[in-house]
Amino acid sequence: MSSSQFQQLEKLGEGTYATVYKGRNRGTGQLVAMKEISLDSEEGTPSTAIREISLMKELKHENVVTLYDVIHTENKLTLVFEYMDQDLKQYMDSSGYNNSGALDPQIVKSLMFQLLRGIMFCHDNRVLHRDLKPQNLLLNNKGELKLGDFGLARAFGIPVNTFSNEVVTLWYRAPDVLMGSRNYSTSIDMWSAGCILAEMFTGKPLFPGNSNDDQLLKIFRIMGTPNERTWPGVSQYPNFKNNFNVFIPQDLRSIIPGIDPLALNLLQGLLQMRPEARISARQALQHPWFNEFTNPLNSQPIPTHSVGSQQQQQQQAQAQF
Amino acid sequence: MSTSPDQYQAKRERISDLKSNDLSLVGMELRSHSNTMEEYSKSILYCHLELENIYKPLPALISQQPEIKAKMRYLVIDYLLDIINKYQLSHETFFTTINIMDRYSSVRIVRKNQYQLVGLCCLWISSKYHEKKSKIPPLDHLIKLCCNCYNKKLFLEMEKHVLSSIDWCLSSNLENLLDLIISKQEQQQKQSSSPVDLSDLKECCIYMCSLAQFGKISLHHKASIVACASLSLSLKALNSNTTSLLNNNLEVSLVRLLFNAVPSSMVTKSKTPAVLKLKTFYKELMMISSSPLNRIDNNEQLLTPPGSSKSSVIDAGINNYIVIPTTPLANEISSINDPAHISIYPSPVDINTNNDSGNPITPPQSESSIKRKFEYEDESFNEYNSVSKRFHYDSTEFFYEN
Repeated sequence: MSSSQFQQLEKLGEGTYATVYKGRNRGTGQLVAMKEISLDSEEGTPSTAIREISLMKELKHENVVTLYDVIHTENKLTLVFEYMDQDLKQYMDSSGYNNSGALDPQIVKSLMFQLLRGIMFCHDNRVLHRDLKPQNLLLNNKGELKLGDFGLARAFGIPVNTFSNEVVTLWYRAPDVLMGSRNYSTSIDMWSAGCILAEMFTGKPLFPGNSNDDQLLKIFRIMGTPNERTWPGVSQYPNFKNNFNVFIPQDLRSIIPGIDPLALNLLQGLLQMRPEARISARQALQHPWFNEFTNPLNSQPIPTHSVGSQQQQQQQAQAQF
Repeated sequence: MSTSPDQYQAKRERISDLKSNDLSLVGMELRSHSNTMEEYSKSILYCHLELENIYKPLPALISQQPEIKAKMRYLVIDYLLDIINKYQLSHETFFTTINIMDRYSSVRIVRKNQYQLVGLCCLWISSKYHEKKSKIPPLDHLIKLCCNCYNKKLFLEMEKHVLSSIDWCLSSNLENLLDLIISKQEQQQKQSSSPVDLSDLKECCIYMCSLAQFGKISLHHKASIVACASLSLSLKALNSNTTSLLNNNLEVSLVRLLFNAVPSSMVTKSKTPAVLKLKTFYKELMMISSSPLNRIDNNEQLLTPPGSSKSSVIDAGINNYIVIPTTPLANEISSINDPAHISIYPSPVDINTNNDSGNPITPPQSESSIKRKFEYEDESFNEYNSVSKRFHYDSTEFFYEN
């Protein structure tokens, strides 16, 4: 038990590998999130926990959730994280126009900028997150976005064939990974970021597939079915089939009506089918859509916004814009 | 998605079969990987250099261990490498294992009857970090590997203790560093009149770095220095005419440095561990036998004592591993497997006490060739120390200034 330093409060969520509780530091009164992992007597410390802790100890950045402490007892491992008020999924569910989940474009821009900064920091420190999705992007009431849950993350750099292709929640998984690539690298996180960007605009997941094949189909329906002409070498992927239904690429504007042309351009860069053609986090941050944050002439701090309750949020939005 | 683990396994096998039949796919993915690495290599190199400064073993503290002597470290590493080969784990797993084992012994007192347990737990942890699930040695295998000397509870406790002692950081990255510096050779090799194959080069570097783990070199020098020294030496060994990454004086001293690190027991015939000369290194040398490194297909040369005429240090070094007569493998390994073996091992090699100057192990000097070689050591280490700071600077600046 976190008997001494941390007081355990209500349960926040449960995953396959851990349970998360809200907690409070008895000394300072500060709120924390406590991720409890029960230990198996055969396996010892799970490899996911070893990777997550080891990588998070190295990653100190304002857009990555901070790991404060690790409490290792005989049958339980508790990771103490900085407390975040909600995740992006909850936030989208509770806000947006008519509860559609769609966010204000200005808020989308701010959140996307922070997401990309977090990703760039990870990639610069040779860490692939490999599980980016709204549930893993944490928000606090100051409007800051931080990457959380590095349970699937790992260090990259060596071109080996050992990466699993059972990573990333299906909906946010890149087409090259779906087709069996195991040598993916940073581009895998960029595809997820593209899916998240579209989801923030519409409030709905962009490619909600229910199986590997269905997921590919949903991607092809919008992005077009790839062939040797549009993607040289695509037919060599293990899961490529010659009898894929052939779709022509759709205009993304039909899915996200009224999207800012600059935002659309960035989205297209992120949702490139070919991993090599996908924009990197650094390039994405230099995209003109973010000019107001990156232009040194109006070097304001990155605008954040309240993401409190829906009402607060709407008032805030009205006041801001 | 209601697939059982077995089906996943079948799928994985199918994919790997397809891949092994399809070199162009692998090539395509490797190209895509190197594209990404090109963009990130600079920041990743800086990240590695920063991490290796923070998470390094402290040789001065290890030398104060009351029960652990350099000889035992050598034996334990030998034993661990044997297991790593047996389970076909990656080089990275090996380097990380040694790094965290040394860092653990920098901060905790290790009893000599527990050194093997510490080593096994470090191996367990680093394979969990680097390897896919199916390759991680299960706990009951580890218990068998040490002849049931330590029980499950001890393993679990030690694992926990190691993790907290090293502050959960497993940032050893020698292979990754090697990849970064070798990829920088690509351009130079293209322009060279006799280009060196990069995979041969890597194989050679990995061999040198693995060798370096056995000696004090891996304790006293950062991974980046060991990586650069091995690259410099490998380029020479592969007869490359390219201008290597270091200026000549420094290069020479690094070549010597690496050879000083050859553990004394690898040089003296009787004590050379089986795992080293046959299982790993002999095979690796054979694998790169198509390269100019292969000066051993001639049996006569095999039997010539090292260092006859103009022979470079390299010739001498490599011949030392090959000339050694084979000893029955099984006997040696089983005796090493027995932890009691460690404590009754012949008197530990004297360690030169002034660790600050980074002096390596003084070998028991029996053969003239060995003596000759070790004459270099003081000179080269002093030389090395005077330039080590500059070298560190060079290693980052060199690649990216041009």
